[in-house]
Amino acid sequence: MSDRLSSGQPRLDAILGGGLPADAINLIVGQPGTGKTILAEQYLFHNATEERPGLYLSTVSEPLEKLIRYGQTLSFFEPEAIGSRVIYEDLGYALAANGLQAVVDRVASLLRERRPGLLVIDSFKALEAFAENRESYRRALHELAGHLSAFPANCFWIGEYAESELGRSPEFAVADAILSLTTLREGSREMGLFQVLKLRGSDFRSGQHTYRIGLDGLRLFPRLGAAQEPTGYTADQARLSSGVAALDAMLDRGYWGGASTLIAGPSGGGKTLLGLHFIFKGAELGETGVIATLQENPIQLERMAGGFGWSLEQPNVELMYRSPIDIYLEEWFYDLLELIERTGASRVLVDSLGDLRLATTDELRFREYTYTLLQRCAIRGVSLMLTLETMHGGSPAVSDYGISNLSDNVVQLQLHRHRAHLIHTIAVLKTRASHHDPAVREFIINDGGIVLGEPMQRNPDE
Amino acid sequence: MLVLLAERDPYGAELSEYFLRTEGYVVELALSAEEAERRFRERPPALAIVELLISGGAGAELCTSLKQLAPVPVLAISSLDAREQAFDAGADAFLQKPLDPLQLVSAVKDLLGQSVLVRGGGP
Repeated sequence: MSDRLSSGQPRLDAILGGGLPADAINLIVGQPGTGKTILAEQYLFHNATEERPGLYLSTVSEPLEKLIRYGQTLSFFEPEAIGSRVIYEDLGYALAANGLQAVVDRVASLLRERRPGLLVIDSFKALEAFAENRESYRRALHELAGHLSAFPANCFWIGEYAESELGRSPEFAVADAILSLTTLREGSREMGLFQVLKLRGSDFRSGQHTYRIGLDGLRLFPRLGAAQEPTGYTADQARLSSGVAALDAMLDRGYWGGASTLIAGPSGGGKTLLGLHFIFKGAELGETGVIATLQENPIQLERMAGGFGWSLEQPNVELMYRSPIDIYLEEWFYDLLELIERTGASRVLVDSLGDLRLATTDELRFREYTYTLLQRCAIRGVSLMLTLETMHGGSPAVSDYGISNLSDNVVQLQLHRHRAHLIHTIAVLKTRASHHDPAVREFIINDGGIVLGEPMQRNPDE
Repeated sequence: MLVLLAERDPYGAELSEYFLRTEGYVVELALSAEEAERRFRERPPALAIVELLISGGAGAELCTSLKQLAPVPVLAISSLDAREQAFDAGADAFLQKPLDPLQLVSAVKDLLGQSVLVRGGGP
């Protein structure tokens, strides 16, 4: 028998150090609508068996009828399991008629009759209102905990506790684990925050982890920075072509494999095109590349690529498009990391960092995730190219996001007005552990993409 | 068939007693080591179940005493993983709490030679 209870979701289990301790009393706290019931039902349906069924006991907050009716919309909710593996029972009537002791007696009786492997009481907080006074509530709680501790069942007590109540109610002392669900609003976006407040006898990943509620239940996105990142790895000794021969020459035969490169420049400066060169050069060499774009949608991007003789349909090219107005930072990072893992990609283009930054008001979180993405790609030997939009002319402003110092290479694209024309220029501002040509070069864009010219002899803005 | 249940936790005792009764055993409950030894002397059971933390941790000593009094199988139980301590004290089997009803009943049947495997001679 395992000493851990799995939620069926590896990421949630990882936050909990491998799962909840078996046969524990777990308290799930949070305001209405945060997903407490769904989380408990996930555990119930994942673990209940006919021999050791899961009991869901509702009290007086949520009518059982509604619970079951809405539960059916969830993908893990198996109607055929109801009555055999999963048993719902309404304790509301017994509670209203005979008080708190009726619940304690009924639970004790169910432990004997049903021999459950899991037992949920929803809402647990509502029980206190049925106690004559605080002392009688404590007595009943002690008795209930005594019955539950004597039997090998995993218990979930659910309550709409506010943060200010944490620690004041005796159930917090009784519980072996306390899981908190809250909602964070960022502009028009809303996301869930999951936190382990207590986990007896086990290590866990501290801090707040975001989650979203979908038809498959709570989907957790553990803080990437919270996981230990290995620091020792062998740096790739190979050079990768940027896809532009002259740029490779400026970079001393191209980028180091596994390096990160920031392409900064104004709108229309050629950032996406330089990124496509990088991806399609890899594809030509048999290396899988991922284009993670928040800029052009797939149709626009296909049209753009087609203009230079490439196609998103060709082998070794994977597209991950998300609309910039509906992305959640953590989900996006997890999706990208999973796609890299699944496809074995060795080149990745992120277009653009600015769109990602707008997905959160929390700058620290953005930096934490971006840093972790850079680290993970470096460890896996994945070469990363990130685009960043800067203002026309003036200062490069590439440090605004705190990413330029983390990137191995920084390439700046600029647009200059010269008489009645716009001139594209490119300059390599930084290459880590490598030499580079410090010249500013003019380039043109033709049917083959970017074509570099000779080094400029004078400042084009003069 | 009489089973002496020496258990400190009334809730645990209630459940174990229930599961053993449903299997047809007569259960005599003692909530302290002293009471258990007295009942054992007065009416020797077919099997004794001893919680090692009874009376502040006197369970191991109780196991040894009971084994000296009569050749009765002893099943030690504890919330701690005290398997070695239980066997050192003379217990014939050990189960960690909380007790799974099926495991409890199976262990009792095995110790009493009532399980299908034991009665049939086994492989």
